[in-house]
Amino acid sequence: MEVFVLKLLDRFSGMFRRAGIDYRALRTIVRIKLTMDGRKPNGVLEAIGKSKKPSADKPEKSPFAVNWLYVLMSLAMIPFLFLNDILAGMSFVFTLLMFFQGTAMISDFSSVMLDTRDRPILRTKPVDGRTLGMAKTVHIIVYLFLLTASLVTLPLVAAFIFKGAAAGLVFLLEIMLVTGLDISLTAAVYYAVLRLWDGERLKDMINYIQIVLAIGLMIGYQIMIRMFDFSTLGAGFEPGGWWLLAPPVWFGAPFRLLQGGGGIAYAFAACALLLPLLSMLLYVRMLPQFEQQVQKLTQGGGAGKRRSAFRPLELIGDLLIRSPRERAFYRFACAMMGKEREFKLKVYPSVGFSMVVPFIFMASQLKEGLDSLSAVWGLMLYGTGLAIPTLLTLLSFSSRHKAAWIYSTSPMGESGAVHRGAVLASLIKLFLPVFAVAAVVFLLLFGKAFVPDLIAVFLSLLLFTVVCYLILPRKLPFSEPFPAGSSSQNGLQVFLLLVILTAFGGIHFGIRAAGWPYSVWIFSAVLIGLNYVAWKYGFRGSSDVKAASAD
Amino acid sequence: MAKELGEAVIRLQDVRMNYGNKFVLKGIDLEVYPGQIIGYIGPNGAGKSTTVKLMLGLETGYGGTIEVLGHNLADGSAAYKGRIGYVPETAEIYDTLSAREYLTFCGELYGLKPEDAEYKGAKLMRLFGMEEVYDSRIDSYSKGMRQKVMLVASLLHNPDLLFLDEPLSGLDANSVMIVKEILAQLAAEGKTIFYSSHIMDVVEKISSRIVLLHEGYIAADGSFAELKAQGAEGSLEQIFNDLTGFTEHAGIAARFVQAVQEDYR
Repeated sequence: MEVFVLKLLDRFSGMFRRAGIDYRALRTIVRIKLTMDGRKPNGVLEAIGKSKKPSADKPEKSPFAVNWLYVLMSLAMIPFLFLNDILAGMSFVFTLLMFFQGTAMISDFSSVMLDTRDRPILRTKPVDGRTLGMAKTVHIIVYLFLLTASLVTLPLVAAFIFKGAAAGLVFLLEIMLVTGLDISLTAAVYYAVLRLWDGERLKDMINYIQIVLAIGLMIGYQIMIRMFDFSTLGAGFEPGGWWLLAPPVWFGAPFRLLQGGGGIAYAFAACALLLPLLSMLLYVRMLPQFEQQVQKLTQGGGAGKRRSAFRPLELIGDLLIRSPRERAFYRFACAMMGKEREFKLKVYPSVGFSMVVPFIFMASQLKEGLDSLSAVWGLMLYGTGLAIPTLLTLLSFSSRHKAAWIYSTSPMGESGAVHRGAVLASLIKLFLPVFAVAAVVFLLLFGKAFVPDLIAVFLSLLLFTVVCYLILPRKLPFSEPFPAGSSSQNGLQVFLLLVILTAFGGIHFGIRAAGWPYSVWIFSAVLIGLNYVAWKYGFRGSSDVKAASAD
Repeated sequence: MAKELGEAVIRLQDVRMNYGNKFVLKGIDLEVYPGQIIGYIGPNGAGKSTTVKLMLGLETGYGGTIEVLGHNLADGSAAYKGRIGYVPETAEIYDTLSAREYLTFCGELYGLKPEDAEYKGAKLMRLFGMEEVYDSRIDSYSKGMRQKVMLVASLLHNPDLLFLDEPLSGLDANSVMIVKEILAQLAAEGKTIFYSSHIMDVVEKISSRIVLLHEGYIAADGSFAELKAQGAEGSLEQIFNDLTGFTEHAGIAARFVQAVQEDYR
């Protein structure tokens, strides 16, 4: 596959040369980057040299593996090709596509775009900024195309077969255009941020922008999907001028033109062709300047700020935890989660999104008016629990994972304390605030009668956390490198946990439905007992550090 | 300063650099000739690595003129870097690769054919006693082994000018002797070595010329003998302390040890 990519690249060598790019260097860099992506970074133990002799070829799951989850999702796109109104249908398909590409750009490829390690290694050799920038871009495009391929191959084939060759070709062309647009838009946002800020402040701003973009994409996606009210789709969808602000609609328009439509669709189709081309042209022009700005990320900032004396989070930890060692890990985890930018980038969007999940579930019901909302809908609050498996999975990652040698060299004893301290910290620091916001909204919606249910939901989610810990692979916190490329992991376990989470909701629902007096209160009391046992003994399994990090 | 034959390899004229309000270099004038081993020393934050980064084109936005290998850096071309070797202080390296892959890659970027780069890399690594780990991943290497890879990577393309930042860090005593001898012989072949380090004994022994940077200015420039003749006494370490105005090391050490031994239990 690597060879195939390079062969394909060779076809464009003339184009690169004409753009003033050192194609030989570009090819060498891209080749070595692809090789590195296929390698699994060494874990802590291997880095200290305790493990078996490492060899160069230790392939991870190939970066070119088909993402079956995306293939599955692409099946859901196919029906939209057959909507009566093809403009609306294709706009919907491109909404999905832009959402997935955008999310991947921000969470997985930002590190490629903003990599500062390339600079001391490559720029000290006779490689100019434009070539390095282009090499990075090609590297990103290869992956973005692969991701996109998982997502669009089936719909594309369907388009060719059922909608004709013309529609298929237009679809293919647009996929390329939208990929270019996504890359250059992301680069434009970064360029603006890089121009505006300096030093440490710059790194924080990039982090915030990424989080905001990720959440924005999720919300934008939800809005777009709801915009197309399916009941009216059959009747034909007439976009007004303000729909020009929604790029997916541009890409839907050419299909209507193919079917002989006209009018405003011409304007949209023009946008679909011209704006991506323009943005790509600008992107290539600005590459050297972009590379120049990226170097600002290596500059250190001024003096750090000392934290204020009042630290409510630590007080909570001190109240709940007696062992001084566990307290130490609780505080350490709190500090790491607050400071590690890559961690924040991966965690915040998904945790923030979990706050919205219950309301998405209720959306159709909410449309009917608040009065139609029976108290049972309150159990949708369980939806916030979706964040917990993600949180615990990400807890084991760090961009400085090699520093985890400290676990093995300090007199630590049982690793259960490390795990419990860190899990508790992630729950209190990241999950609790989000849950609290959702809970307040639910209290406003459902009134005082919801209080016992709220308590039971909270206790269930606490118990669910321990279940997650037991089912997910146990790794020491912050001891593994972030996986390159797609960040989806532990798919099977997460699926199992979703079933368990639903079961929690189901039990709660059953107990409410049974209608015994005080049933929910009794449920809560039982949950308190179970929580006590689970939190006390659930973390004892892993006896020492080596066993825990050996897998 | 001894006048050497040939054109200056490096020529800095009134080079100034600042990050925001922080002035790092306040006017550096320096000419370096072929065959010199420059020991570039100075306290932390004196601007040593900034100087080197400027000459490598890693940083821009300086004032004054920088010429490296007869090429004025202001014109922005990267071709002159083909004759430079660089060992950075922070050993940034693509460490999921094996030494064979990394060295071949570096050689290719300098325009070598892959098979030539691979052959030469293997030959040089063997001389460092590393043939057995040539195909192991660099992230399994010890610090000294990494340093050897960095050294080989910087020399593969037979450069005329070497920038070395703490090149001996992590090496064992035997390897240190080899590398010191390599540097001396390379200089004798007419190559120029620009060497920055904090280890004064080494700088004293291997440098043909010592340049001391202090607070953005060149505070001293000359051979070790010349520095001593200027009235400074004792070892280079003492000269360094004198010129940077630092005399309290004994007092600070005493208070430090005292603090270590305080018992809070």
